[in-house]
Amino acid sequence: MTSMTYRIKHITRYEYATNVQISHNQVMLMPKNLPSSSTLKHRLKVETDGVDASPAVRKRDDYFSNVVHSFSLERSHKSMSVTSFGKVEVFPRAITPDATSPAWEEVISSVQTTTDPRWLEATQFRFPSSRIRADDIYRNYALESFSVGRPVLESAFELTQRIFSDFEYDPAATDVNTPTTKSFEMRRGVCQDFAHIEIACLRSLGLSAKYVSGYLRTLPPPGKPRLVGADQSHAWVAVYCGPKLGWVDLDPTNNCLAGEGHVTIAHGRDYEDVVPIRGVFLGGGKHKISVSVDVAPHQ
Amino acid sequence: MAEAAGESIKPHRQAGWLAQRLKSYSGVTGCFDEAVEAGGAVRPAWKRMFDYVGRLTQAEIQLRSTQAQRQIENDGAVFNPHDMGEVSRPWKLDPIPLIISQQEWSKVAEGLQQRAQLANLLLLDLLGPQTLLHEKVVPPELLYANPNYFPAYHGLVQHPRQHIHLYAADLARGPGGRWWVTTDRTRAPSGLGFVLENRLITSRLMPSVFAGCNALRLASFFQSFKASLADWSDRFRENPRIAIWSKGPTSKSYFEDAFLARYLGHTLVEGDDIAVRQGRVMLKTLGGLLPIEVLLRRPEDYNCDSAELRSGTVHGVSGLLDVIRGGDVAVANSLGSSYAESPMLAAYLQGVCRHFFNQDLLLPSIATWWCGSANGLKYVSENFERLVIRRAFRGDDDAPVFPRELDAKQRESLLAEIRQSPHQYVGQEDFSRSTTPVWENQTIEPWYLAIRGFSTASVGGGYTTLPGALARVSPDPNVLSQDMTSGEKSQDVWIAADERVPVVTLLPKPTKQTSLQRSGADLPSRVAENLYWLGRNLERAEQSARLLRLALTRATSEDTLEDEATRLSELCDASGQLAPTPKTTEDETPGEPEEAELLSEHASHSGSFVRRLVEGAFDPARPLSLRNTVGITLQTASKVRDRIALDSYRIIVELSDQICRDMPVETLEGAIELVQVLDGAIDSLSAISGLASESMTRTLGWRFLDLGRAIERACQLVAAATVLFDNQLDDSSPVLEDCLNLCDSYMTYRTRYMADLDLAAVLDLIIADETNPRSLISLSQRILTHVEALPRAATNATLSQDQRIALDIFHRVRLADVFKLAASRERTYPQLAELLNGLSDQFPTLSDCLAGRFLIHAGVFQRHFSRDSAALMQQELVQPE
Repeated sequence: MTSMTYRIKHITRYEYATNVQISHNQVMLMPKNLPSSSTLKHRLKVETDGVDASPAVRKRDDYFSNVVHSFSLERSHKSMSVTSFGKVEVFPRAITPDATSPAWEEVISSVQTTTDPRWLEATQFRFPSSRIRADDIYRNYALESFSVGRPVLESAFELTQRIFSDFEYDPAATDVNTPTTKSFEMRRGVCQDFAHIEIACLRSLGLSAKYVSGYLRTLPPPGKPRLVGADQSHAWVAVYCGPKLGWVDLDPTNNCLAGEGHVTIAHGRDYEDVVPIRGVFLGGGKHKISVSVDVAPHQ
Repeated sequence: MAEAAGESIKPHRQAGWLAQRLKSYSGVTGCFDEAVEAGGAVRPAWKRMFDYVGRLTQAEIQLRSTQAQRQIENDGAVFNPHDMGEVSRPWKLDPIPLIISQQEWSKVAEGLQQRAQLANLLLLDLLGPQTLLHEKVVPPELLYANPNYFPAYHGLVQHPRQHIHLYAADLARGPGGRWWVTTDRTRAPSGLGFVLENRLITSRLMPSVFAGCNALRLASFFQSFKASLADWSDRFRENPRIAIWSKGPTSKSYFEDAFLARYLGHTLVEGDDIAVRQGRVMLKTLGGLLPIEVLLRRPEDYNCDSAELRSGTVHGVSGLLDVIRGGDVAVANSLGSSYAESPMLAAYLQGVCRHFFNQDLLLPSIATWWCGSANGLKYVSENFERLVIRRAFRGDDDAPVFPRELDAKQRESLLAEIRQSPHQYVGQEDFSRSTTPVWENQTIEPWYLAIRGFSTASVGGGYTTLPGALARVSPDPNVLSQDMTSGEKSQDVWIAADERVPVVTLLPKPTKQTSLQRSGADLPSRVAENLYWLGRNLERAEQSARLLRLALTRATSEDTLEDEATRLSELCDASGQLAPTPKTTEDETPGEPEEAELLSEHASHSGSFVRRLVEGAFDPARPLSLRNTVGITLQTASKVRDRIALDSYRIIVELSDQICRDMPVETLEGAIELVQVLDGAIDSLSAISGLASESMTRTLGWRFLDLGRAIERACQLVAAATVLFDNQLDDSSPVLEDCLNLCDSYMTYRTRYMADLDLAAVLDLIIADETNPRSLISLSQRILTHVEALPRAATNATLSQDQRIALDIFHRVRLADVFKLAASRERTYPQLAELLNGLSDQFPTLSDCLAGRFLIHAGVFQRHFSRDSAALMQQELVQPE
């Protein structure tokens, strides 16, 4: 298999009821460079009231090596749009669900006893974070797939499959602030909720799990149904499977391992670490947001 | 306190009695005593103090104790001065200081410096290369399991400097005389303000013994404190703008923040006063935005930036973190510094010390076991009842738990909790404390002691330790373990040198010339706003008190005419002082309302009216009542207490004590007493305006205070005239006299016109007479002058809206003809009514206009929706498939 190249155009537009005097924004929209993908080009455009605002943009890598752009707008405006243009090459990932992996208990204990060479990296993603609390409800749910001595990837992939089949994709059931426990109880939600639930399950067992934000390719393969979440921003999970396999990306919304269709933007402990546009503004009254995402294979 | 009656000669009243008491003072068995050795011999550093106290009589030392307490209350040294349901209690200072010899202290000082260095290196490492984690010196849970961990703190410490500017440690002394650290404080240690306050008072109470003991001065420490802050600023190093960022008047540390700001000469700011603009942290002032180079902050790490850290915080400054990353502001102590005060660290600090310095801790921590490690959990479970249990990560002053004080069931549930999330807990050895002499129950008693020592960064590296400390004492040692605010009393700490000590002061050296400043355009908008409302409320309180006094006097006098009584009653009602007529009273059955009404009508200007007036004016729930106005005045004053004279603040506190209580007035005699209370209130309020006009510098702050007063007084005058002259008066009506009384112009009138009351003459005096400072024309002139002096863009050629209104008011009053005003038609005064109506519209407009232009700079930031909610909206559209 060869690599895939995508052109990404992601527009986020805010409209305010009254004028905004000032806003401070942090943007996490540039796909990060990884062994499985490389960002060939990227550009950010900020417009206010339809005119290029070209604010001074600061760029930095955050603690998880995600690329963060930040800018402030200090001139009064009634609308703002942020457009992220990117060209990304995604390489095929060698891992399949049946790849050999160590027993899940072994992964946990070698991280805890620091015998795993990547123990520290894995440790950061073991603890509760603002959206995710460890709990017996998750642990008990997960244990059905994590029987004693079972290989970690096999177990985790089964967990992914179970979330896919036990939970209903229902955008009306949750919103961006729905607590993870609530969507777990309802057995409903969207990609963000499913990712949080799977992370909570894995961490409740003692495993390390990351939240991954990104895009999913638009093009449906001929004759196959269109993947849910296509042409959207997307979210999935990465679980630590020991030093040999490292982090393996699992997509509970689509019942698969992440492949060439998944473009990673950022990694974090949960959604809070990778919010695409985190901004505050003064004035403005009520506001509306509209988003359009286009992920097109590059010819 | 109570002494045995009938005792003719009281031995303790005589000199020498205390000396006897001191001779038998011996501390507490099993504990180290600060003043005496185990054998009873007085320690050398204490000899002079014992001699001195021994010469005092009981009354003399009691007097000192009382003086100390009075001084503290006058200075307003309280935790949380105007409490909002939280505990607010004055700082209590014992007249006897704690004395430690310099020789001994120098070892403690070295130990504190070492720990401060360690905290700094630890922070730099944890937020940087993390060698401590890689090499397993410190468990990674210290960061990652901390409930307040934010990855955003990484990358805030790139700039080379000491990121812990102020370090503090709480110390306890064991039976062997060794000092142990019980807690580290690395975020924003409090207590320095109280150290200064204690020192100022104690050294003033006993100057001779202070000098005789060769107590080291504190000023050099504060020089270092100031210099290292200034050194942090990359720009304007000569004179950087340094601000103390307080959590506001309702916070525990506000007294201290205001005190330090005044002592160090820094600007006191709250979250609303500062904002990020043009990539800098700016102070919002009347004159515009001024950049701040260094922020000495009080808010918690996670509350500092509501855009990037915790949202919905009231203290945060949105966008602060990006400015720190850019190196355009320094925040002390750096964000993330609270990691270095986690109790779990105590279990690993010795290792950290070996890692960085290859030496042992000079001042050890109390033995601590972290339950997140297998060995720690085992030890804590096995020795549960001997230990003290604390949270591994510091929350907001979590109190320690003593398992030995719990019953079996509680112990079990605590253990279960620990096993559930072991990394959240530590067990600490229960330590003993030393004792020290305290003046209590009219005698000297040994109380348990906790001290807090401070180290601050020195310019060029290293740390300096305060030659002094904050001592807290209590008869119960466990009380001292809770937090900084616990303990029954505080003591000043003297570090006694062997030789005389040189005098150091923070007053600038004569060689360094200060650049002279007279402006004050850097007045924060918030302060201007508070001063303006302080002015308005002070004036409103004064006018309400005058009106009440007048109405009560008239209601209780015999010769009051009905017309006058009606008009006064209407005025009281209009100014919000009059409670509604009671439909029934409790004594009457609902069946007899007619009779009750008859009665109240019958005694219209006596009992019932007085009762309604007192009920209304002293009802805290009525927005304009005198009581509520005084309450608001005190609240507003406490927000700007660093801007007004201490005496003014003291008078306002006393005023509120007099007025803000329930007035039991059921009888007319009670009303007479009430008149005296009101006399006192009016005196107090006059004293405040006297202080303002005599001692306040004519800066913008004064202008806003005075503008508030003038506008309110003019409003009140217009309102009073509108009601009193609503319809035609009889000649020589006493209402004219009332009006003069309310305007405090009766005496002037009498000297001019004798007793002859005439409307035109009265109107001339209260409206048109420029020589009367209380006349409308004088007030309008004063308002206009202030408005024209406010800062505005020099390029603006046209008049601003506020200038237009002030001019309009002035001209209306100036052009009024008093004879035409006094001319009646159809039993009314049409011209007067027209003038008053117009003015009563213009004053509120002017006030709003000023507020919009100068006062309201702050606003509440909202958070942008995130993409996912949008994605959901879109997916709803896609859903049909």
